Amino acid sequence: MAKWLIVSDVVQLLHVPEATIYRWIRQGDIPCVVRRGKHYFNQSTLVTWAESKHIHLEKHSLRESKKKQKASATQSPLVEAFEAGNVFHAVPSGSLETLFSQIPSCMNLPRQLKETLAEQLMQRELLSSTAIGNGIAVPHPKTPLGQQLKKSMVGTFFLEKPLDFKAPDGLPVFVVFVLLSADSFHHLHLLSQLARFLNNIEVNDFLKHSPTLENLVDLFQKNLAETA
Amino acid sequence: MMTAALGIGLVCGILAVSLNWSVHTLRLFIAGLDLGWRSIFFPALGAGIAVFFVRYLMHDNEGHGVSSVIKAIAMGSGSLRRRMIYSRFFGSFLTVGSGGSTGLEGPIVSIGGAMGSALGRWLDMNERHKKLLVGYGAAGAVAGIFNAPLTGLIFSLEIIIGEWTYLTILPTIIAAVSATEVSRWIMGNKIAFFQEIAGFSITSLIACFALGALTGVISILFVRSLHIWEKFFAKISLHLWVRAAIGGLSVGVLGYYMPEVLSEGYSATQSFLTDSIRPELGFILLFVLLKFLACGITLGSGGVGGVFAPSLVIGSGVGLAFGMILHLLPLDGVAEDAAFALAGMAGMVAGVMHGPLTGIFLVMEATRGYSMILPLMLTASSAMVVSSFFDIGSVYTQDLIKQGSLIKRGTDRYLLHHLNIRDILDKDFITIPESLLLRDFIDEFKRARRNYFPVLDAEEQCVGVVFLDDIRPHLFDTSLYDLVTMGSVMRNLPIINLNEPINVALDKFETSKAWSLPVVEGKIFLGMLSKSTLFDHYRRELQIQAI
Repeated sequence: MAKWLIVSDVVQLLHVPEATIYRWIRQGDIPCVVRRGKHYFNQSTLVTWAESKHIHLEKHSLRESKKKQKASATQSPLVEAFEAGNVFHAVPSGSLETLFSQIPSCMNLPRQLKETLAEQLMQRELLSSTAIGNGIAVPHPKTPLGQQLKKSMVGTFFLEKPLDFKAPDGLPVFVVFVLLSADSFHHLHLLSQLARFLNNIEVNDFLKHSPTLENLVDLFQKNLAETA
Repeated sequence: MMTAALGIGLVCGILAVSLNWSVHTLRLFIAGLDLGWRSIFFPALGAGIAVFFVRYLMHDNEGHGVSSVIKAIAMGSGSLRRRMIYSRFFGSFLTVGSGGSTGLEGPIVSIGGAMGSALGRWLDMNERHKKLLVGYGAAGAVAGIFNAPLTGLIFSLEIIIGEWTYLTILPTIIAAVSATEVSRWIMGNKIAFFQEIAGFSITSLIACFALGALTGVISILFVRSLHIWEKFFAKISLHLWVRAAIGGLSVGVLGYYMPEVLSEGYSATQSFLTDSIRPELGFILLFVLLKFLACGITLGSGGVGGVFAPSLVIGSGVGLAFGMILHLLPLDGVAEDAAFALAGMAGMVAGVMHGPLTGIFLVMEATRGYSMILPLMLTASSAMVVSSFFDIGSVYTQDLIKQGSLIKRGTDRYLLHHLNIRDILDKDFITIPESLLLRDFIDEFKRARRNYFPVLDAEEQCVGVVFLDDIRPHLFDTSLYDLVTMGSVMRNLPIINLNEPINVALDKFETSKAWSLPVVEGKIFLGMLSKSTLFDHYRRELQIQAI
């Protein structure tokens, strides 16, 4: 079945203003048909036309434009990240190496990533401590993971024993939040939200009780509502 | 420029005549040897030596004649080296003289173009003038070989230069006329094909449309078969000259059974047009088919020659057969077969080379017949329409388009092609190391003048760019100051290599949607290329090159 697009679809695809599309139609520069006064574009004809003009189309928009609109974020990205990363208790933490090698095996990651994550976390840790004080640390890989990860995730690990992270306030760390971001844009956003959340005194106390994932998510949403 | 054109015309005329004469002498010589079945080896011998000479001795890798001239006009006359004059001359002499089923026009055009380029260099001319000389050379070449000045002019303007201004028309005429004069002076005022054609009726004119469509289709098949043969021979992993020899051997075998297929084939066309006793329809069709094959094999296996003559010859055969079939039908007022043969010639030239005017004028001048103009126009234009419908670009331009080398003057790509990336780089920025903390970045940012910061790794290679827009919301979030390393907030952008053609760089801009991209030479980071600076320079070139 031929797929037919309308002007607004083409605006999305080509990233040009609507007025330009209409001008191209008048000039005969873009293939389209008119039915009952409205303009329609055959998808495959349009793709061929764009290729012949060396115009780059947003290919994925052709298929997923409807789906994307439905999957609008009703949930905060941090909550989704928490849920994707899960919460783990009594994680062995004799040393940084031990901890960092435990983390990939617990989390739900692609195999390639599991092999390299420990190393990446360590590299970042050596640059500068990821501890933010009050016994909390936010280890993350040095560079954004890019293609290796589809969705960002935050893994919550409550340590078996407190571990020295060379924190600015000198306190040993009892919980780490491992932040794995799909790209640098999300990284900064998540990191900033996470840091703000964790710096809250109430949250800090709450964490000392080793909450479950549900508790954590609830607390975060309450916190979000309060600070909004 | 006028005197230069005159000179080029004279020289090209002489060269065209001498090539023609030497090839015919060689053909006569071989025919005179009367070796019977052993003569199948001659094309192989000729093609093998020719390719060996051209590729290995003269290192001439520029490809088929007319295409390389068109490319030189687009990209720079420097690609037509002086040695091309000798390599093409002897290469085509050997290939066609020994029987290779191809024409001399392509090589002559490239010789003419190379001469023009050499003359331009000798006279220390600028690039624009050198390119014009190449065009004059091409005009002289075609005019000299066909004894047809108008055709030379039209060919050069339609197919080679593509530009019609006072600078191009007048000197080209001078070149064409002088070449023709020289040619006539040496060889006498011979006409290639002579034919007196009676008038055309409406029926015949309508038939010309059909013939045009037919030749259009056949020209598409012809051009595609050339590509197929090229690919076929490319798969044979032997030396280039061995491949040519193998091709030559096949042609030799074909030629043994039908000698008219060998060499240029004009003798067959001549007989189609003038013999009072018509050959059989079957013979003509077989001839067309074998010539089609022979030419494809000769050129596909690497033989030095052109498609101009084969187009004419195949066209004449197709036209003649068409005419003969028409006569068998119960129709009134069908013109003579020879007329259709001529129309077929124009149609094939239009279809193969996308040069309808060249085809029309060639037939008109060659036959000294103005009466044919209407049928020629109809056939040529419908052939061209059909041919353009199926294939973009002529046999000459298709390869160039695929390579991305077909850049017309005055077009976007022509303007950008000449911009040197190195000259328009932004170097006024601060680079930051991957491991820089946000806290320390704040200091850098205070003294920066740009909104982007290329990020270098430990080996000083560019791994990404930090854009201020991305981090601005978080710049004053002190809780992040020790948590964020700049490497974690950079964008992974495609990197432009200095040696890349500019259209590749433009594609990278388009896919990444960035306004600035890092430029490296090898592994060394040179600077950032900004789209807006590129646009400024583009606009400047546009202003300068506007008429």
